[in-house]
Amino acid sequence: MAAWELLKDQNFRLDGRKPTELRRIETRLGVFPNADGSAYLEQGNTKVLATVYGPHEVKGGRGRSNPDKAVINCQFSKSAFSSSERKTHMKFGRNSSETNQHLVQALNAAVMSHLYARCQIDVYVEIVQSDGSDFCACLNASTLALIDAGIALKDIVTCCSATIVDEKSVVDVNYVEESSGSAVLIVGLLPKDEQIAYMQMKGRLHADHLEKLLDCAVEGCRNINNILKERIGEHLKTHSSHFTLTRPATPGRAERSRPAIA
Amino acid sequence: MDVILSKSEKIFLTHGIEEGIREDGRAPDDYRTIDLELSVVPNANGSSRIKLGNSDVLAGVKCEIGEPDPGRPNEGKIIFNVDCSANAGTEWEGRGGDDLEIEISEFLSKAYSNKSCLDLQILGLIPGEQCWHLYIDVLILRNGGNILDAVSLAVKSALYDTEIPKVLIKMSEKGQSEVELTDNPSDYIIMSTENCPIFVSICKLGKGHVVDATAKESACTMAKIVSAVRKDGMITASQKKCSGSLQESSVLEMYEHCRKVGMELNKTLISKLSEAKNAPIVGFLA
Amino acid sequence: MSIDIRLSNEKLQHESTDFSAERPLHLVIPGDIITREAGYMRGHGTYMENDVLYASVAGCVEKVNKLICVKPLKSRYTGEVGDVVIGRIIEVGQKRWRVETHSKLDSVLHLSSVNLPGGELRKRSEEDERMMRNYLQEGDLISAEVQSVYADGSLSLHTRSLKYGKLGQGSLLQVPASLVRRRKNHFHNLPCGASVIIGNNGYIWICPTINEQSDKTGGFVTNYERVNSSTREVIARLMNCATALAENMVVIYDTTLLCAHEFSLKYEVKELIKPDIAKEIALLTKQKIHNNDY
Repeated sequence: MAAWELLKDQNFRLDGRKPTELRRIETRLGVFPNADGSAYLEQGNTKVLATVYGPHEVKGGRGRSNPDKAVINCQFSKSAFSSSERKTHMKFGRNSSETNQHLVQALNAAVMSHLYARCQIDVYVEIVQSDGSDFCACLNASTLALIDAGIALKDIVTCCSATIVDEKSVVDVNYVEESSGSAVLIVGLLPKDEQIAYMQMKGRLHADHLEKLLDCAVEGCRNINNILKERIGEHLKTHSSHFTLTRPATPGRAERSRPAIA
Repeated sequence: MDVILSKSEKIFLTHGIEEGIREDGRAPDDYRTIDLELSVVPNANGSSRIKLGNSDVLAGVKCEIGEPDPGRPNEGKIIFNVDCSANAGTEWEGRGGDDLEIEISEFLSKAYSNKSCLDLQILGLIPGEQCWHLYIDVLILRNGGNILDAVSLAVKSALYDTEIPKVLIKMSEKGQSEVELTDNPSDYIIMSTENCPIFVSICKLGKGHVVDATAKESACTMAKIVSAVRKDGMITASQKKCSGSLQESSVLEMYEHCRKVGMELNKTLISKLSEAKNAPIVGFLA
Repeated sequence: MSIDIRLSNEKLQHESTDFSAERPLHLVIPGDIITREAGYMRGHGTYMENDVLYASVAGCVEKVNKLICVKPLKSRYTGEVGDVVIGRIIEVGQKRWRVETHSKLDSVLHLSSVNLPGGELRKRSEEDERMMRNYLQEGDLISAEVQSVYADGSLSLHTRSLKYGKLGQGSLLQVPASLVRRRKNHFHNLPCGASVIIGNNGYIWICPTINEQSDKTGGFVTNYERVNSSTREVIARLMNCATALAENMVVIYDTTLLCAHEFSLKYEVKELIKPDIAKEIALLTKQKIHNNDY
């Protein structure tokens, strides 16, 4: 019996994960100091860099600007050496412009864009290495980069995929599982209000399975969200010592007025 | 990143270089700290990341079997491709980086076209039919000045890191040769990269010239000479850039300067590469 | 010739010291609940939903009376009236200049808000409108004060004081605006032999010492004389010190800058751009500032 069949019998997936187990997530905020915000994210072997420039004045004439809210502009690209098969430049293919639009859509749900009237926010994402769930990693990295840029968000939008392997729904799909042909569902969640900000599915799926699959992806989003929150918290802790110094040296008005109230 | 400077900033910077004190205190011949890492891209046969001051470059080499050039049936091919990532700045969004991409990849091809740089015979498999194509992809993630030198360092390092799978050439029943990969992944060949050239860009500002110009210094540069220098000081390609013109004597002087710096840079890199090969991979997490 | 190649894993050794224990900070990330109590006013970096106050940015909660704000680690500069800023002219328009100040929108400097050569109370003529590019052209740097903030957050600047105006020879450095404190004075003649203007927008200008009497002309007399090399070295050293502080997220004002300068003296200027030395100086400065509790 082949090794993977053994694994299968024990309810393990090809890469040794349990059905609801995520791949290891590693993050780093502030990779490129010249940008307004940047982040690096690893979800297993899928590795993504995201950079944010802005909010800044709208490029290409004020005609493109929106007097009420920010224009979010995304560009996604994939490095030639990101997958095992070498592929060049897909910057302007139909696929990547679709991905760009999807990123814009998902981020628009989270960014409080009315605060940035007449501005543009650029989000650039580069897939350094690809091993499935590329879009999820891109969206998660973009969110982190926006946070690093200090841009106001209603919530931390997180994204996770799910598919069905041997009648079982599995979370955070890797490349092999993705290319097995069964339906892959991608969900972007605003966890605070349990709102689905983005959803996409490809492949054939029996309607009975949808709920199960959706539950699985949403649960994955929640788990990823908890991990990201923890990482952002750690980043804040190690990089916030300047706040203790930015406080006014003399007691601020808040402290001074306190005795009067008491 | 495109840098705009006022006239007085330019004057301050240029005078400084004429006096031998650069904005960050370096002497005209000093490079910024170079960070080197190998094998950062597991999907490539060889890869490297070079950070030169504020510039950040990733290079990956992928080997694929293809057909040789009809004129050179016994040799493999190397193909350069440069990608300016929009991550480096808004001006590279969309097709913004195209010109620079072509400029750099063409110069790389020119510099490596000299037979002495890389032994392409080693990449030949079945004469006239099959050979290795080495795709060398460069991804520029941040442009903090002197991007050309950084790219060349990354390319040389990635080639050093490249492991080309060993193949068996078998005769099929029809009497044709066939290529078959060996099952053992640790069975690979390594090319000698000792003679791969490194680019040295020398920028002329006022009466002085400097190596490893920062983004600001590049903005004040009147003329620039880029040379691809081998470790023995041989120059395999050279190009004058920027709009300013140069006198013959200063061209020669800058050439000599390129050679001297290039030899030293090669020596330092080669000595570090073997150390880097066994170093743990940190990637973008540190 | 100095060429220094190091391996990327060599820089893992330094661990930053944790200072946060002394004064606990209230840190939040987007979507976190700041308070459910009623009666607070929501400031920057917060939003209200169903009477609950949430954070919209990752940072530190600051309360002033009933106003709650969250300050992000870094962000674009949000100006306040009276701030000192440094900006770059990017467009000469009719009766106004557009100025880049690292805010979310470009700032404006009206012709009526500048001191023209020849006295403060001079009437602005059509001649002046035509001459605008002669006063300030694209690429020029200015120091200015925020005069007013428009509804969309963009800033109107003025240079109607002799200390403001066009900047001459020197070096500009950009740091996160969150690292610059609002202080009484942003113009400093440092004892080490250079002047520095620390803009609230995170632009820092380091230049040869400004002479109080003769140099404050509003910048219309540009001095292209060669700066001597000892001054240049001081400027380069201060530049590298400020960069070191910024890269390691240390607050930048005259005291920290001088402190870092002092610690840096045991090194040559060019050694300061090496990441580990920069880090050492930043950490030493951080420590000293904390111990003295400035």
